[in-house]
Amino acid sequence: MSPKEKKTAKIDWETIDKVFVYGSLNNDYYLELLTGTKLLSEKGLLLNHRRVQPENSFTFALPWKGYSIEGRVLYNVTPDILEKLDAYEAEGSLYKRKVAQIQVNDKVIDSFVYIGKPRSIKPYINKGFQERDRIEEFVESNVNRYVEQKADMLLNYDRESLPLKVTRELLSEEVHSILRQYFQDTGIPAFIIKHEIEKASIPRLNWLKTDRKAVKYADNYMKLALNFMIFNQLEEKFRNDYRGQVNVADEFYIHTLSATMALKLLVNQKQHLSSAISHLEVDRYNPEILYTDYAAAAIIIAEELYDPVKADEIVKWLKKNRHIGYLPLGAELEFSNIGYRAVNSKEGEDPLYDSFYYFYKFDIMRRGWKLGAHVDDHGFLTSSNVRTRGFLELAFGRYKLLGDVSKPATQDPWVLSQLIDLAVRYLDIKPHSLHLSIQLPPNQEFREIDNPDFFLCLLLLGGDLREDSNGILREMRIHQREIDHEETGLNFSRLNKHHTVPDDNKWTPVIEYQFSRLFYEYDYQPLIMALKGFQQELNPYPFKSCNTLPKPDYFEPIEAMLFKWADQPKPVSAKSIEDFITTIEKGLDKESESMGKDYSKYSQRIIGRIEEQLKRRNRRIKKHDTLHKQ
Amino acid sequence: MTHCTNSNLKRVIKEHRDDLINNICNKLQKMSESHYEIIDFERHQEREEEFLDIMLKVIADCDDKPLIQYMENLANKRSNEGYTLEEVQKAIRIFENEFWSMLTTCYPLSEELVELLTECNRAFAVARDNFAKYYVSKTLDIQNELNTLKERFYIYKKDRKDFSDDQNVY
Repeated sequence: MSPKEKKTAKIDWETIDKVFVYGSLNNDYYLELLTGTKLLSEKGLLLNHRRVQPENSFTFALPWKGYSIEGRVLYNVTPDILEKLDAYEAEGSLYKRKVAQIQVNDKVIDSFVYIGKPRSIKPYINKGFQERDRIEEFVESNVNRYVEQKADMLLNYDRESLPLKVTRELLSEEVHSILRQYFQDTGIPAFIIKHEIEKASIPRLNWLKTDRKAVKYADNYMKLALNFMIFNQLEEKFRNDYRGQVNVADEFYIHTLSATMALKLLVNQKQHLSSAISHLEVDRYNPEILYTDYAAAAIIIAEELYDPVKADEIVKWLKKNRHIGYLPLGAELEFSNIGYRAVNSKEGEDPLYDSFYYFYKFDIMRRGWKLGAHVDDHGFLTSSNVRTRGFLELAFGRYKLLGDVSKPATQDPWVLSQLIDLAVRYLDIKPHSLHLSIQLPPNQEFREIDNPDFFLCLLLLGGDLREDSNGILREMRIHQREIDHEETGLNFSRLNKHHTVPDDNKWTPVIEYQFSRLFYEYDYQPLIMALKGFQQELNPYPFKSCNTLPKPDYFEPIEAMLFKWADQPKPVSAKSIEDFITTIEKGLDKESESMGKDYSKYSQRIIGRIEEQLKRRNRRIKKHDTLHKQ
Repeated sequence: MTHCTNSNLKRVIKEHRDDLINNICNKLQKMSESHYEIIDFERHQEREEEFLDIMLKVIADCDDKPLIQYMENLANKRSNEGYTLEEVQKAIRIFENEFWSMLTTCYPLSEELVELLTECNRAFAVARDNFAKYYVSKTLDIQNELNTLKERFYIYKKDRKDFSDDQNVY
């Protein structure tokens, strides 16, 4: 309120310590997040006002004679708290704080209330902002204050807010981690936020001057870092501009949809992207260019590539194709230019990345955190300070690597398939393998499989049938012993325990299928749906990490059969294929019952494709078999 | 091409189409360090079937227009997907070699075969040349569009002062 307005008001504003709340502030959790305290309150009625609740957005009040709004009166609101509430409600621009009459029990009292300014609120409604989004925005703006301070110390450049954007990009993992913690702990004191931002390090490249070996790979690492930063920028852009389209339920990973959109935009303009990178000469390591400059280049390129018309088309494309199922899903993608030799590879064996030995030194984990980027050496991940050789792995939904803290990526097989394919197309590193995870319904017991040919059907759908150098057809994932472990045997599937919140003892059981090859330009929907149907109908014992097997050597004959088949694939019998299709159909029907007609149609369509793929691949084996017998 | 050459070509292709496509796909999957190596066999099949149909039409009708159109679309697609010019040219060569080899093995030895092989040579050259032409032209167009971007980054680098090596940033 301006001083002029205050003078003309009859009521003494300074004495009012009550605020009437009716929307997001009427939620104790949000109120505590914003004010950092619990306030005394009482039910009340805002007189002569009407509640406006746009679809999928947040509430506001407008003066309307004869109407009233139910809510609560907050008591003992100090000037400090009022200042916080004003900041949240963007007093003066989004809302206007005024004094209104509230009926509490039989009395009418004066209290502050925030009244919406429809013209200012409209853009938020268009973007699909909900109450939670506004809280997030508020918390983020608080965190940004400290990021700005850091930016001032980092970079002196007074145009286009680049110092702030660069600093935000380089600290994006820390900023998001603070936001998560803020919601989890119902607020964090300002001094902790300040400390966290201050101690977060800005990556540098001066260490390369004394590490001649690393210089050999620096071009590729910096290009990878740049690609992740460009992706981060666009993901954030989609997230901010299309809140209503990218939001998911709290139990799912919040970046999945915006990441899919960003990757789609980038993959659609891949040549523009590569040309821009080489045009700015940031496709290589140059001792004259600092890490912050690479971040600035990423921001400039991302801004160039983001076209609102193309972005709109992508949002429509995603909306049109969604098929939300019942079971939560996840995926891990492994990449390596030297394939399965990545783990335990020798120094220099991978001429492009040295099997990601310098991954952490180039700070790639912090750049690729939204896609769960890390190095997987098939051992236990202990610390990002431990250097190791292995695969570059993307683990969708895993937002904290140590402790395996993750949320399911999605419930939508189409989205998951797109995300996998787009990530492969975007990264330009040879794709190697795909692990697909399905979260199990609680208290479901594992069962024995009567027909082991079902595992062959899965291999037909997700394995890698190709000729070896001698022209012999093999299933390469098992034939090359890519998923065979010396001590534990064949890692076809395993039981995992996933934590969704750090330091929480609760976990959810997840079955992870590890046999699939990761291809370029591939539609994974048939495989994902087959695994879902299989799991829902039969819930078979996982090959690994299960303590309740019917007998210790239960999997021995099955593993032997799979090895034999992979070395020399034979056609799977028509009866087994038919039974397999019937099984997955039954499993998927269970899901369709609760998901409705559209999902059921989608499910049927994919079952048709599964059958067609199985038969085609079987025919290929038959043909190869016949030729080789001749 | 004569009616007789055409009908013989149709017959030979009909009889050996599956083997030809299989051989091409198997060879493409063995093209190490290329996009072709990491594509599933069936996706290769779909793509090569389509290319075979176009080539057969061009050879039979002696009309390059559909091929030129196809190569323009393909150049746009592949360049956008990050394929290098060399790897696509190599893949076309693989296709051509297999096609040539199938004809020399299965087509009746005659004057017509010489005519057919000459026509095939010409058609594949049209395919390669047009792919290269459109690929390079698209690359140049994009580079010209990006000049303002370069200018923006240049100004930033010239004027910025970076303190990231100073200890007080940490």
